[in-house]
Amino acid sequence: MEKSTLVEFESKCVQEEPPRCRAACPLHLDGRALCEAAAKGRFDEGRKIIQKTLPLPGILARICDAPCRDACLRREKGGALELGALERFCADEGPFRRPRILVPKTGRTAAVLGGGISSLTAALDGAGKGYTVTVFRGENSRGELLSLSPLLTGEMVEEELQWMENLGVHFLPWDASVSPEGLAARFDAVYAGLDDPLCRSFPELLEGGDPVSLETAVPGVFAGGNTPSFIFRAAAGRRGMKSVERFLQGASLSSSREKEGPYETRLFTNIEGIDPAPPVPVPPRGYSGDEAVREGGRCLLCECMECVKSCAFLQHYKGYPKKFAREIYNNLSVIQGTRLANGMINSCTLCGQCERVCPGGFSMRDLCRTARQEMVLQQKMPPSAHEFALEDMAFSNSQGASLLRHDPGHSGSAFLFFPGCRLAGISPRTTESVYGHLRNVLDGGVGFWLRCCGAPARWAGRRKELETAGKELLDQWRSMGSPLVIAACTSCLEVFRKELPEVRAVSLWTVLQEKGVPETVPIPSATAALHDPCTAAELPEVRAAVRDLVARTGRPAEELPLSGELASCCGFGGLQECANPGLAAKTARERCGQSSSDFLVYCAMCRDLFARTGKRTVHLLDLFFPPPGGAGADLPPVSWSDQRENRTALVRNMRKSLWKEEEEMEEEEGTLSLVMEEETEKTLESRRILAGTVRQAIWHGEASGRKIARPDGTFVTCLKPAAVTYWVVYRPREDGAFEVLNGWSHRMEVKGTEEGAP
Amino acid sequence: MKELVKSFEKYGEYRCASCGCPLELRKTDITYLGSVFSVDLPVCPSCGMVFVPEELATGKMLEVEKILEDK
Repeated sequence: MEKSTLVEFESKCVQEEPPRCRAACPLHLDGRALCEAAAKGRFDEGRKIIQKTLPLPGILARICDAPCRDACLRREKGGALELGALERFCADEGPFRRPRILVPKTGRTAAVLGGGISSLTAALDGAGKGYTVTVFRGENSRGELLSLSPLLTGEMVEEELQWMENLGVHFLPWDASVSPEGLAARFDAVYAGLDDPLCRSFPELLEGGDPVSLETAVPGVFAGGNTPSFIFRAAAGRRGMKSVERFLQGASLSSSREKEGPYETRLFTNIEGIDPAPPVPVPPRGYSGDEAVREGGRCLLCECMECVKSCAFLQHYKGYPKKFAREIYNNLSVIQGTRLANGMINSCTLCGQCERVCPGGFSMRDLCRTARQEMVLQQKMPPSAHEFALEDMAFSNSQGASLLRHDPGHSGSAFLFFPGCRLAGISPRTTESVYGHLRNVLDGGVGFWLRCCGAPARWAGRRKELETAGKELLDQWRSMGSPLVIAACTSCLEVFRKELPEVRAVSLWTVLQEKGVPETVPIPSATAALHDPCTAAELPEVRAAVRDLVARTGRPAEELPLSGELASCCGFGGLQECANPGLAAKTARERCGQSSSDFLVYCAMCRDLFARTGKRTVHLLDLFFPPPGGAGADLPPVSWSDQRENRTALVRNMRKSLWKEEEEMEEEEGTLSLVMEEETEKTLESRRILAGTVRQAIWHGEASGRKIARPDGTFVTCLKPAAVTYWVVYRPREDGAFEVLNGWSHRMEVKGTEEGAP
Repeated sequence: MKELVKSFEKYGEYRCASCGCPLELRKTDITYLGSVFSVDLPVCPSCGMVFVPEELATGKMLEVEKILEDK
């Protein structure tokens, strides 16, 4: 990934942008952090935050006029935070303990004119930059500081001035010889604080100054702070001393200074659903500890996190897209060492919800897909991540599990029904019924096309495999006379639209909306919530068709909080289920938790993933093509093994019943009968060991004799059909069947296990 | 790992079905993504058929596979 691509991704995420209070403060005090500390009663922490940003904290924290109030988002929900009062409480509650940092002297000298807030800030900052600073102030400047507010005492003012002297700032009395021009000749640079009336007596400092650099007509002299706001006076002093620094370095006085003063932050914070709360009133004596804690607790702690709030994947990896973008960039740049973000990159569902809820349009989908493609090209994609899905894709396109035929009795097809692997595997019965219905309601012949659309390769970042699949799809489609494809699955439709735009494809749902359904049974639940699959988020016509069809059942379904174009994934998409099954289960559970009602879905994979969590879930097709004895809410999930077997059985049955094709001889191993307890079946399913593989292993173990006999009369055998070695424990039964007792697998290659593999 | 290998001694009760020999612990090379390790595994002394126990495959082996895949 190019650095510029990273920067482009990063710029879209606003989570690291400062909160409004901090952006609005001319000195950028972190009001959010201050409130957070106050809410916890950590006022020592609060003082640290104040002294890190504010010069003269003992004075400014007590008299800050808090311009942040106008920007505070709480204004819209009860009233702005009383940040000024919180600063004051922190200052009153305990002493500022400032570490004295020794700064090497640069040999440069700076003169500061005036004894007000602005001048003292400039002097402090100048000392911090290693300049030898001399302040020229009037004899009553202490009194003038004290008179700024009745909240200040002589002791407070003295403490701050003493601190400055400790830092090496020299104070000299103002006399008649003081003039900007004269000081400019004696010192390397000069700053004049215009909040001091003495400085305002020089007309050359008041006229024609530059508002950004505070440069005056006198070369090397900067001036500012002529404002009633104390905090803006301090900010002018800070700005002026920055200009002095640039001036002494010969750098530009005006470039890149946009964010020095107050600015508008890009941070977005959603305040929907936040209850209004009025500010804790500030008594004349200031807050008590308890009041400060309560006021701090009112802070919204502004942050964006819009995408994270509704995504189990982003929550799991504890961060936000900007942070993830950097981690992914680093991951792709690793030459030697551990690629820590592989798991994260492969766990995104690629549903695109983040992009749709993000105020800046950040797409984790684009980021993770780009990363996956790059990892594949670099040959750094962990082989285990997507292999199961890619093997399933190959199986779906194999002879026994795929089918392409014209409508029986027709020599051409105006339409081509594309049920997709999941519907055919999870509900072969519905697949056949829907095909029968389409043949009844559509004229011109409806062909049947069962195979994989290529989505797994697309999700896995395997462009080469996707292109190969795309070419096969195009060839097959053209060979049928380029008919209109009717896709039952929105993921397949997405692949057709995005990768094969030449293929004319529509959704089954829009066809059913137009042509009608054979019958309808009502939703079998008291209340049902309609769940949109993530791939329908960008298909408004499909969502509208589905809602129209649901209405025909006579009972409307409730809408989930994040539905329609904001729909998120069930956990299957992007191969999350393959690369990170635990997280996929969590994703499905969270999605199911959005409503206590039963779910109504129109994606076979959503149905299965939700059913696995125990959620009562009905597939919409089961309302129009009802299964015997019900509407499908209690149908069990279908294992990976059964999905494969269902697909081959579907192909076999349809070829026989519709196209009258003779069944080819099955391989003998396919007829081997297996028996296993439910618990064993679950173990094998979770280890992704398919019944077909078990059958093959036992067949070869028995045929070759390469097996190990255990003392209890059972056998262990192994098989390595491709990259993975599978072990199966079994016992031959008297009836000729094989009882399967256990199974496990490994990817490491062990010399001595390969022999005997087919 | 030593303890795990020690526990493999119990597979001495397992026999190679084709040769009839009890399995013995022997140094065996296992490889993945270019890395090679040598581990004592139960092996048929006659035909060399190796047995990879479940606790190794689902434990240490899986762990190492994941580490190597992220290298």
